[in-house]
Amino acid sequence: MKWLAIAGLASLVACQDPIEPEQWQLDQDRAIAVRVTPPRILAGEHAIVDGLLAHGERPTTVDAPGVVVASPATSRFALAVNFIFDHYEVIAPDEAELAAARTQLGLATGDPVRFEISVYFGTVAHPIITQKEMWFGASTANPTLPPITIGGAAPGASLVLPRDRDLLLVATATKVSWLTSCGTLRDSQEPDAILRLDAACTGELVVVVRDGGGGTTWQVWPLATE
Amino acid sequence: MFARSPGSPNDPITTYLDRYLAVRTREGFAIEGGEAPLFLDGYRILTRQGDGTPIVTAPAIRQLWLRTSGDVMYGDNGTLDLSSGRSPRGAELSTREIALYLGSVTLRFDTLGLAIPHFVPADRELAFESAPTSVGLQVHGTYRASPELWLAVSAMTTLGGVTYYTDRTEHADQRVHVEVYENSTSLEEHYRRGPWHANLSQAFGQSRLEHDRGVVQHDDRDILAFETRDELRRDLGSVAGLTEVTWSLGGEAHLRRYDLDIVGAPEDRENVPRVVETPFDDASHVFEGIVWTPDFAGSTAVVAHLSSKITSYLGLRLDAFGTDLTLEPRGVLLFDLGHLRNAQLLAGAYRRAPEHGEELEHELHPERTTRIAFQIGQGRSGNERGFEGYARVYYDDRTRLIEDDGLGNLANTGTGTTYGVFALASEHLGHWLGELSVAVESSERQDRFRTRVRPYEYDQPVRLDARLQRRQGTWLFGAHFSLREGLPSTPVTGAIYDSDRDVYLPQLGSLYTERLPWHHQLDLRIDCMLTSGRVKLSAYLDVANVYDHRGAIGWAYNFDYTQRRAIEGPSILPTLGLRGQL
Repeated sequence: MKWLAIAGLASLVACQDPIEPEQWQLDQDRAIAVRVTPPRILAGEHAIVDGLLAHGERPTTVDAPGVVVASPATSRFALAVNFIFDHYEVIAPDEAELAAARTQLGLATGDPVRFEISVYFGTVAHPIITQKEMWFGASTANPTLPPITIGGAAPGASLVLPRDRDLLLVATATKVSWLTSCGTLRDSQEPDAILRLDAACTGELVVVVRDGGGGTTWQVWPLATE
Repeated sequence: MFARSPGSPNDPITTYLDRYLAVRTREGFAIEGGEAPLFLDGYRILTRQGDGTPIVTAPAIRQLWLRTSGDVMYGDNGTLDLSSGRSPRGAELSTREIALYLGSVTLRFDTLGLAIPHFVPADRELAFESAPTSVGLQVHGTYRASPELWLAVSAMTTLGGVTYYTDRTEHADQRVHVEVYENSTSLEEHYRRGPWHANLSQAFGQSRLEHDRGVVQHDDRDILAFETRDELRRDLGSVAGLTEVTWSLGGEAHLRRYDLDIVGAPEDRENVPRVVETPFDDASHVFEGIVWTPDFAGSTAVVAHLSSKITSYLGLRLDAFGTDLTLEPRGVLLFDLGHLRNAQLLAGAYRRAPEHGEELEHELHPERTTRIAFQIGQGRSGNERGFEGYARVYYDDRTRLIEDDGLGNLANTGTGTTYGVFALASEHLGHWLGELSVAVESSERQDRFRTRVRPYEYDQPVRLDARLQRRQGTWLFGAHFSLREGLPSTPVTGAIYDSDRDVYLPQLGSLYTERLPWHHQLDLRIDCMLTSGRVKLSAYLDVANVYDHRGAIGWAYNFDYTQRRAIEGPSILPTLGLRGQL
């Protein structure tokens, strides 16, 4: 029976251990988040792009991308991506071009127009390929970090956390990702996650908050066990 | 042998499909390189199955057979026909039939599903709101009104469903609810007078599928079907030097009304690889409306002995799928080689109407298959002892296959080729019964002209099934071994990180350029049967997958597709059964 097969297959998949490395694990070469600042710009305004990267053997870094291109490359806004001296900037097209785009997309006057970019980090041999959306024809900054508690207390600039107990991580936001290089994380894609440190460790705890409209912010805390 | 086969306790359908080396698919099963439909009492089962298991309860099935002959009474090739009656459709009337026979009333309640929720560890991303349930009722009766007229009625109804969450926190946006209801009733009238035979039947079916996924996706389908399948046959005796000539004329109507209300992701297609679970918020495919699929068919055929050793079958079928008219000539030459040996040469054209899922939403034409096959066989003498077997080589040419163009549009652009050898040998010697079936096959597809020729999604080039049984007094010992090459899969070559959704999107390599690992499995079974007066008691111990080889049924990936692990099939499974019969 189909429903039995669906449930059976779901059980087969769900009953197996997750495959490592998991999404919350920091000690791997990967992009954690890409940020466009600001994510919504008016005609003629500039935005810059950077990313929070994790590395296998060293702490996270905030890097400028190696390459940024419009996605797809044939996008009507392909020329909005510019390499200026040593970094990429996205420059919103003028009002006439935005108005033409709105007409073609069936948008109302003043509606923001979505623009997607492909952002490359890493090296030519080992590229880290990412996608990021931003918006033209509106003006919005990236979100600020929401109220956060770690183990019931507001965190300082660095964290020293106890071992062998569950620590509740809470961010007052909707779209939250938690990552760490110490211990294990449960519900890492939820605003309320649980961190458990079973062994002595020195590393980092990261939270990334997204506003669902292209805005991104993050915080990195150096972390050590008591 | 089918009822007491190791590895599939008391499930003759599974055993039968394994014996003929059918390939399990997501929607049912495939035979000889193509999807094969399932029929019950001569009519297509409306609701498609997810694991190939028919909704028909196994004890209620009296006959089942694989139809790969050139019979013009069916449009498809390679169908599995189930019969809930005592006599297969079209069989000769037996003069020994009693006047009234209430064939069977079978009530089924699946208990296996009830256990599934209890096997899910608490820390896993799966929670059941209601366990999988399935209830079925099947009734069959026959009535012999006179020596010439024989009537039969079959009715089947089934109801089932499940509700679960794909996360343990039971968020509404991760909820999956499936509910299926299906019923069908068919009537058969068989009439014989002198040289005339009439086999008439009518069926009415109704089914409803509700599949809700998350808060935006739903797939609701209501299907009503009225169908009739009629055949008139006359024995002509000797005509123009031919002997035992029989002429038949057939007519069919299959009227179906689909009431569809669908919001969700585009449907899986054979030529579109999918390695990730469909996102719950994907509402890119929306369809609401009523679709009729009228299918009328007429056919005529002549069977004649060309000589004492050669019999011929020539048939012509005309299908009208809506505005599509198709002509399907078919023919078989049967050679009697003596000593129970025979050979068969078969050629024919077959058509399959677009009637699955999204195919209903597009203006499409029937898929075409042209087949040629040669078979040589050795029959078994009347005492059911000794050797029996046959081998068949076959070649199928497929055109106008319905393929996705990569943008979600379906069109009859595909072609395909299947060729292979199937052999089945059975030896019954004393207390021993052994059987071996082997298939070596290649099945390829090409989505459009000048695109890459690739394997069919369910291409399984090597398949083997071996069975051995020994009867010792009231004991029956059985062993079953199966070996199958892995199905094609599509490799993941990389992944792109979507920063706004915080997910990795896989980049796929060429379609079906990898294969899953080989699967092999040994099953053992012991039966003990006791008879005391009118009471029959039987007990069995069946151990499926004795050496616990968990075949891969797919790949599971980590979040960024840098690591993967096989999704393992079922482990070793012992079953203890008791059965009493009056």
